[in-house]
Amino acid sequence: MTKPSGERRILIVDDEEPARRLLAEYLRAYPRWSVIGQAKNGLEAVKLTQQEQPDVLLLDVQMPKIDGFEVLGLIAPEIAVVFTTAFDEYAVRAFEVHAVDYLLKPFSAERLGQALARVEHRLGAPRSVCAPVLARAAREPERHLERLVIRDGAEIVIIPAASIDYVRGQDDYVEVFHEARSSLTQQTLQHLEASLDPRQFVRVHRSYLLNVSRVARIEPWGQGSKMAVLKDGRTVPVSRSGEARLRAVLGV
Amino acid sequence: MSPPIAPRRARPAWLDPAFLLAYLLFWAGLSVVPWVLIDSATPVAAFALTLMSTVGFAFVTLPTWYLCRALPLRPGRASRVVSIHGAAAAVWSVALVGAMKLLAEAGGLFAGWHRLPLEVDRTQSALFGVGALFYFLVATFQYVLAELQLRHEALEREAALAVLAQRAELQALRAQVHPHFLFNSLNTVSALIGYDPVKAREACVLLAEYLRGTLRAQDQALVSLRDEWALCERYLKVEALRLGDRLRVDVELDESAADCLVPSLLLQPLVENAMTHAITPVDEPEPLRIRAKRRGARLALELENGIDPAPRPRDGGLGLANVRARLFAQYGKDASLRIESDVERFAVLLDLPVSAPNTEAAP
Repeated sequence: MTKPSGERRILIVDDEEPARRLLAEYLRAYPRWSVIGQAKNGLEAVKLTQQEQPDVLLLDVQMPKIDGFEVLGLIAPEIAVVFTTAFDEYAVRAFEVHAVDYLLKPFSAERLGQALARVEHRLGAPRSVCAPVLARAAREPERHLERLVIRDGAEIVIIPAASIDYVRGQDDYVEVFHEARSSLTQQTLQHLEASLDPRQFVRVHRSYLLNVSRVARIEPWGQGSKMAVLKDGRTVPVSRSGEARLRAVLGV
Repeated sequence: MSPPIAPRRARPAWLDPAFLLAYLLFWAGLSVVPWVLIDSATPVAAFALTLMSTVGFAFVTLPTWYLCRALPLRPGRASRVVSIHGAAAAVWSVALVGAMKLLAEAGGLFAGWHRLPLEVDRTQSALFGVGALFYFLVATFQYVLAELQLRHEALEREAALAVLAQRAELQALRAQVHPHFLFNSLNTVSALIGYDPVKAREACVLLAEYLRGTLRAQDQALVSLRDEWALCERYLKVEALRLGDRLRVDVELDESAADCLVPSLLLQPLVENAMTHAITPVDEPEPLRIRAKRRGARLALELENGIDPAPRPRDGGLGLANVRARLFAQYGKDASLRIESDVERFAVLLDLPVSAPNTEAAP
């Protein structure tokens, strides 16, 4: 990704204009770093990242549409990320997802320079962040994931946890069924199971995670196994141990 | 400010009018005793004797009050309490018999009840016993009253402490300026210095005025709605520097409403709440609408904003709870905070009694 000239490409992501202009001004003192674009929200950031392939994202955390952590989950792991925020409570989560640095607003040009030096050091080494860590980072500590932000092909889909009917796991990706459609994402069922609210989502089968509020009834299905019939008539296989877990959550 | 809470001073229970009435009735009932004991006493004479004793007795029981106060009932001190009260009862009864003798002599001399002194002499040991019995009755009564008074005071103190704690809590709620607001504002100023120094200076002034206003508001229970709005306006202007045209504010403040007094920092938490939930996290937010109208003796305030289309979990509701608690502390059930919300808008409606500045001036 490094250009032969040694030029580094930066994308500025912040919903506040003064904050973007400040970063652009600070960066003029570092001619090797060129600003290739500015994004006003998370979705724009993901789009511009795909188009422009920057080396570094200077990324705000709290933004309209999707936040900084959710952006991080949607971009290539080779891209270095430096968070910029007025909130210090995200620092731990930021380093969990291997952000290169964490700048607390307001910061000086020198502090930004230090962050760029760190980026230089780390550039090219991909963030080896696994999905569960990302999922954990995208939610407040002690809280369950309230929504999934996933890339489905060229589209970015925001799925509130409550609107998920069930999830089917296949090798290293999962298919999320929600509101009469389905979206594919590169995660594993285990990771989703660990991040979603266990009182709402039950692993009813090796390959299925089910939203218990969708279940209409449980019916026998073949030798020793059962199936859950959803309120809209669709069915989800339920294994023997899955049935026990389901009954434990439903309290029947 | 509300009046300070002062504990009531302790005083002898017999100064209580209800107690005095009960005391007199008790003695009137006791007129039966001399009437039965003293052969020559007519009911009228017996009642007169008793009534005279009553007034004397009222003063005579006073020592028991002080003695009971000085000798509180404590475990392990029973023998001391009993012996002291025993001695006091003997002295007291002798004094009582003596007093009755004097009264009987007086009765014999002036009213012609010649047999009275003799009757008192004949029954003096019985009178002594009755006197001692009364002493212990009165002492017991004093102890029970003292105990009840202590319990009552403890309850009062507890209530007073609860009020103080609530007041301190409200003060703390009133005082909070969110650090994130400061950090973001400083970042904006830092940015503006680079490309618009005039605006940067303006931002510094606005920020200082806002901070000074919140500090001043901590010392004032009530401010005019005009002043409260001026504070919110500064806050919103600082936020507008950061958010640009994403922040649109639409205000309708009636002249008659602007003069009304409201609890200080009543509006500001609501404005901040709207910023956090409906303006900052939204790309193209709906304008923030604020209306204030006076209808007779009532003041109606309304804040309306749009809804975040992608709501995220947030520590919310603190601003609303804060305002609700402060309204209740100030007006009790005479003020209300109501929320109207649907998929497109969120509105907070306040309804409170008008306090005009001339009738209820803020200290």
